[in-house]
Amino acid sequence: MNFRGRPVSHLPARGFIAAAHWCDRAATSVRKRFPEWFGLPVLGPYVQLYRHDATFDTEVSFFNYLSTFVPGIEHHIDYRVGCLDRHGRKLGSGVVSVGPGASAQVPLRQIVARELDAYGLFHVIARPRSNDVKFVASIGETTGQFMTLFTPVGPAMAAPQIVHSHKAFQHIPIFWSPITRSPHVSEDVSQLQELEFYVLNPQALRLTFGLTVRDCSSAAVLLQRVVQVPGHGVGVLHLDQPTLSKLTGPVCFDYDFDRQVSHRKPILFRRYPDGVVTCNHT
Amino acid sequence: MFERCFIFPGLKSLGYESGMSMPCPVTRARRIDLQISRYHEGAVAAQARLEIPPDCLQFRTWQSNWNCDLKACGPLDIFVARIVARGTDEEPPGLGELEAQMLFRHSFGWTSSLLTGFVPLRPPGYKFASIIHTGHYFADRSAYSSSTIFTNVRSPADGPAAGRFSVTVQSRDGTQLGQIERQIVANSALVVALDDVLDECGVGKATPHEGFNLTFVGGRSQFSIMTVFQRRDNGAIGLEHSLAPLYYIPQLRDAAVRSRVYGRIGSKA
Repeated sequence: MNFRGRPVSHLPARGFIAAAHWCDRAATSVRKRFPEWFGLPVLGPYVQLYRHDATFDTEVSFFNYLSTFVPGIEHHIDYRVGCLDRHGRKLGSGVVSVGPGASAQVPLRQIVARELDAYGLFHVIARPRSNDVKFVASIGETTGQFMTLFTPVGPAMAAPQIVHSHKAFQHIPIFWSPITRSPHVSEDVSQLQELEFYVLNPQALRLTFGLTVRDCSSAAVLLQRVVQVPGHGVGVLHLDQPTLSKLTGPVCFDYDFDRQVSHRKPILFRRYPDGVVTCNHT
Repeated sequence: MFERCFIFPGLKSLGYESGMSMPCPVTRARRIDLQISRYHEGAVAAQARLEIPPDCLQFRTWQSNWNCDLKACGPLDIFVARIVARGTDEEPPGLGELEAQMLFRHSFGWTSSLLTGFVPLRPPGYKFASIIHTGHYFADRSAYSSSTIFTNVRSPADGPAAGRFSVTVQSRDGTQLGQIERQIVANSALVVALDDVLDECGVGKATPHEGFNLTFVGGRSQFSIMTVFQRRDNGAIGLEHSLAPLYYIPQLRDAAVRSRVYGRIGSKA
């Protein structure tokens, strides 16, 4: 049964998300009106995957975006970073400050001053300060975008892999509200040794993620896998070489999420037999 | 008619063949082709029209599939893909938001990709706003090269020059180290290698800076921007597209905010 074109079963989740957005908008209105007291309005925090394993370590690159887009005013930005392990448990937090026109590219473990898990998620929010807060507030919320670099370690023959981030970290739980997404990507798995999907769960409840691999030409289902991802955790699906060798031709994917999380673009890593690894978001 | 295209560069200079992959559900119940043009030095050098099978999920193709051998390409060639209704030269209506995956394949089989949107194909005489891009993420220069690649498309009727970029080099702490300019050829790629920029600015490889910011301002065209890291020993790459100013200031959609922000950038440029 539908209500305004949406399944009735999604109403609790959508209502909760709408309420959270209403609170965000109210906070933004207050910050826009009184930036001297409450700080400049910003969107975020944003979430991304880190890896700290035998293949990759993680660096994060920030810059003073207000110096670029609002020149002629002195701006300082504090980037607040929080880091969790694969199970969603907090590991630590830290702040990276960039002055006018400045930038910083820092290993994540150095920012949070803690040993990281092999993989997990981290979140970032910018807290800008400016000499002309009225002008900066007048352009609305800004967002402290950052770039994540997976830098190869050990014998990995990869180049550093880069992914951007603009999906929200959700402090709130998202209730059951299943959704299927078919990413606009295809993969030729014929030369791969391994294909890995890192699934980020940016909200507080356990997420069930289903992967369906289809033949791009016939749409036939070739493979299905499911992984449970703890709240604020990360799940991984590994497709090894024996599995991949059974797949013929370019393959496409369907993603099934049992709740409408903000991040529906698992990060995909391709590993080749000679040690080269490439990555992109899907 | 409002038209869109998907633009991507040839990466012959890095040793990679280009390709693309796009979703087919948009084409169901319609007969649709993918028209791909290769631009060499700003002019169409080759064109192919590929039939998209009506029932496929994703259409994946490489430049060798459209008779565009890597050897025949120049290092700054670009590819422009358009969806056209079969039997016409028009984009079919009602396609909605479109995105596709640009693909890059090394001769050893390694593939890298970028998922990004189609860009609008502007009519002749369109007045483009300057682009602003800051490159702040770089790889260890001893082991990797870093390049920013600007691919642009605009009406050939507007001539071969698409403006110029000023490239400002700063150290990590914001100290300006130099400024150079680059001319932009319409419908072409511009590869800005970090090593070349630093050499031109007199910032030698031995200079003990921990990193750099490169800020690009200028241009009169529709751009797609990406950063590429390449290993110097085996040629493996990592790449990502840039984030437009809209990602940092979402209210740039509002004309009044856009005017206020670009007015300030213009007065300080």
